[in-house]
Amino acid sequence: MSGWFLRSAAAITTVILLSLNTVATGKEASVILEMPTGDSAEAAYWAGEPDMPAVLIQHGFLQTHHFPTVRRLALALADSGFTVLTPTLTLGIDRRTASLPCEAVHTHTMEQTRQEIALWVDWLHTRTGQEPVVIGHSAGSINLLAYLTDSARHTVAHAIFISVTYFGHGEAAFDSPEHAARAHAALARGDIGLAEYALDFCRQYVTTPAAYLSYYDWDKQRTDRAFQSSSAPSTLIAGSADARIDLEWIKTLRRHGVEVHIVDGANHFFDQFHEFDLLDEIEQVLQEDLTQ
Amino acid sequence: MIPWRTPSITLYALLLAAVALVTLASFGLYTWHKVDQLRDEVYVSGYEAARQELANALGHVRKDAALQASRFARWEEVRQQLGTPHYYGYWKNHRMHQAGILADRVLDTQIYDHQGVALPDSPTVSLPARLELPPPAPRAVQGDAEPLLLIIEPIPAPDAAEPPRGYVALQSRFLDALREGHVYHYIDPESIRFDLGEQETILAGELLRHAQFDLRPNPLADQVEALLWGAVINLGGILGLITLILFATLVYLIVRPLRAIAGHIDRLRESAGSLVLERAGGLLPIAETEKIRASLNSYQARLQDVHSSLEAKNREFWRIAHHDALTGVRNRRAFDEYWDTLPRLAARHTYPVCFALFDINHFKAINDSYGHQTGDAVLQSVARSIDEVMREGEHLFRIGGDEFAAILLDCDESGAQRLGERCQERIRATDFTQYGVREPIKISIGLAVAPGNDAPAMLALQWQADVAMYKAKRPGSSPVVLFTPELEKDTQSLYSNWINNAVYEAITRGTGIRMAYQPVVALNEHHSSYVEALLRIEHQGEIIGPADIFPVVEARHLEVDLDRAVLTRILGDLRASLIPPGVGISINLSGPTIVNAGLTQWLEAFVPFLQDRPIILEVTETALITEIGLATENLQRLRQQGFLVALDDFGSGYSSIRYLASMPVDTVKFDISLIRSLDVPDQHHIVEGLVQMIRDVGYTTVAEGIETAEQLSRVCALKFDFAQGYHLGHPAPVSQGLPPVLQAHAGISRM
Repeated sequence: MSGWFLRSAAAITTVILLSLNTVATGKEASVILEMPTGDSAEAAYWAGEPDMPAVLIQHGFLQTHHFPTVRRLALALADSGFTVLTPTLTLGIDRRTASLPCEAVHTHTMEQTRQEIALWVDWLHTRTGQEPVVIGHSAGSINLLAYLTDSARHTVAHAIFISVTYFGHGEAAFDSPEHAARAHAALARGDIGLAEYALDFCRQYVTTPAAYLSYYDWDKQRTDRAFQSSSAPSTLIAGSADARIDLEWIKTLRRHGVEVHIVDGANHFFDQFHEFDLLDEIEQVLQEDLTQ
Repeated sequence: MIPWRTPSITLYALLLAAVALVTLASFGLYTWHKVDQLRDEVYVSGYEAARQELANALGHVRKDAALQASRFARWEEVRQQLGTPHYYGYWKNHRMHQAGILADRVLDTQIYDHQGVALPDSPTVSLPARLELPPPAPRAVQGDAEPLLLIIEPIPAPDAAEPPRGYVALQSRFLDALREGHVYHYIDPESIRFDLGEQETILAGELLRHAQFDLRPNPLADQVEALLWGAVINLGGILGLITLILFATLVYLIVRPLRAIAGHIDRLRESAGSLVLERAGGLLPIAETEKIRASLNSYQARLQDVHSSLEAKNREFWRIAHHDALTGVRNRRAFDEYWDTLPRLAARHTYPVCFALFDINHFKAINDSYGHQTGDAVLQSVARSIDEVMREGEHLFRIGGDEFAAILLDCDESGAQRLGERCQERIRATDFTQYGVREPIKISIGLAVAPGNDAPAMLALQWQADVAMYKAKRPGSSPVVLFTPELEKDTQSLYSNWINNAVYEAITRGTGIRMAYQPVVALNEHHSSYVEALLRIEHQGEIIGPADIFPVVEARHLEVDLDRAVLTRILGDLRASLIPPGVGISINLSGPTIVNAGLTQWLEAFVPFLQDRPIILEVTETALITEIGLATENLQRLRQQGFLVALDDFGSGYSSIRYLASMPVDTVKFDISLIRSLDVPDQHHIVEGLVQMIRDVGYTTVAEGIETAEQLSRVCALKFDFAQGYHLGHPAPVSQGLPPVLQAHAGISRM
């Protein structure tokens, strides 16, 4: 843990902030941050009003911060005066700017993802002096959840999970116990080489057994436990027409004190007219946080 | 030197056609050359366009390849391999080509770190394990089956200011892309190929220089060329056809008519000129040639008319020229022409040829007695009578005043004799009293016969007939005499061939003439002696005298020619002063010369000599009587010029006092017969009275033939003015000097 901290500190010192001092309020800027793996990650940053909450929006599985759902939401929040940061996970690629195909070589792990999110949350906290609100979309919600679960001293003020789903065997993903068993077997025999697995919506996900299992382990039960144990206030927003999520499962999360908002008719990406519904939902949450 | 021959119209027509065809051929060759040149230009233009097209295509291929390399180098997964190269081999084998980033034509790739070292676990057969930095420009390398394009592209850092993170090398096929990825208008894409030669690698920019290709068929150019050729062939064919038609038309319109006209003219030249240029198929097609033909025919018709008229006139002229106007029989000219053709005519045959001479006895006396009209009527009647005896094809010729001749072919001696007898019978049967002639008219006939193929004998026929005529006119002889060799002996002295030749040569060439001058001595102080020029002919040392000369001359009617030759010789003696001034000279002139119109002109050369001597022209009584009118006219003109006229041999003929009174005579020379009559009793009174009468009338008198002193005494007693004779002096050439009797008179011009 101390090693990671040192690396994080070193990383912070090497943050490349592109003219942030000169970034005007509401204007988009690029933030590059060197990750513990040595790769640099890039994020879009909008400096908001000083009295407005800072928001970190995390993209979904293998996507970037340019993903439309993320991008639309970031722009809308920035326009509303929120400070917004939308980092892109490196997934083992320096300054990754494009979504990573399933068939590409995936050496990244949930742990590395969690560390990158931690760096970005810390950076935002440091930058704004506020406890940011983190918003995750799809699998990005799991990444945030992993961060929140493993970071007892996190500085997150509120966590919003949009279209949250989980890895592992489930209704909406291709993950299968057989693949997990194959990964475990490979690990057991010391085979750390690449192999094709099914993960989330990827049928041919090329990765190492350990990396695969690092995501696969975040199945419905673990996710459910994570919500249950999360110290940050959490709000779940899901579309009633989202076929990629286990909507019934989401509804069950209310028992863990999680606020669940179901947007009627919205799909997984809240596109078309539902982006405003999504924005309204989020602004409502943020406004409530601001009020508190 | 080859003689120039004017070419024919056919040659010109052929030349024209040849020139036209040569021009056509030249045009064809020129067009062929131009079409070939155009084809070359089209090919060159197409080739250049094709090169440009290929250059553009290569540019696109290189650009696509560069974009491909750039896209690959910027692919984040490539950067991922640089960051985590542990799975590079897996990624290269399972991911790189399946990602859709690289085109299928990329055969091999390699990723190098920033030091140019290939990432590990990356099997490659053609790409190097280490790059030379900086990386070379895109290159073409020799592949197994085709050239490959090798592009090395830097992998850019996310921050452009940073150096490249590494490099990618892509080796790809480009020929298929070159062939299939572009639309070629000029190049057959399947033919595109590259030959790098011995080089393993070249710069990609140099590919064009190593490119080989075939041009697409250019349908438009081929169609244009085919159309052009078709047009040229059609045009050539049409022009050739037009040339042939023009040639045929030229031949039909001009050459054929001109050749027909030329041929017609040739036939006219070779024929009698009675051809007519026919109109083949009507009018000639060209107005000018038709006009030539019509003009030629018209000219020919007029020429024929003129020819016919000339022929008629010629016939008339020939008839006039060859017929005697008085008697109607053929004349001397016709005789001479016929005589000239006789040897050639007779030589073709072996039959004998008879020559007959006819002469009316005492015709001058008839003329004198009954007048010329009666004489003419007698001549006409005699000629008609003899002509009627002639056989078909035989002609009678009037060759002199009363002389006729006939040449009879295939007529031997007996035939000639019968002819003569028939002529005599016909003359005897003719009634001449109708003309007032009371005496019987008789003719003498001399005949000679020679073989027709004996040329020398033929030439002697005239002379032989003359001899026979001479015999026939002798008293007591038969009026019809056929020449025989014996007859020739009798007259050899007179008619020998050498005398004939000498006389002819003297007359024609003037050779042999030797003038002898006999003194005519004055018998009183009122006159001066003079000389009479007498003719001698010297031939081969022999001297021929007048007795031998004049029968020949008269028989040949050569009197005028002889007189002119004599006048020329005398004039020469005068000009040579062989006859000194003061000594008169007397010249004998024949009857034909006296009546000749040219006499005055011939004697003009003597006029200067009249200044210092008298010149006497002696004429005979017979000569004067023949044509006294013309003779009187000539002599009067000469007398006016100063010449004197003497009547020679007075008393030897008719000696008519009536004639004498009318004659333009100054002197009367008494013939020797009258002088001799002075010695005859009963006759000398008549002579003495005649002399007295003539002298009293005023004539100067000359006594000829004074051979004795007694005769001289008598004539002196009779008061003759002059005497001449051997007693006073023989005729002698001037080379012997003047007789003594004349020497005292030299320089005196008195007569």
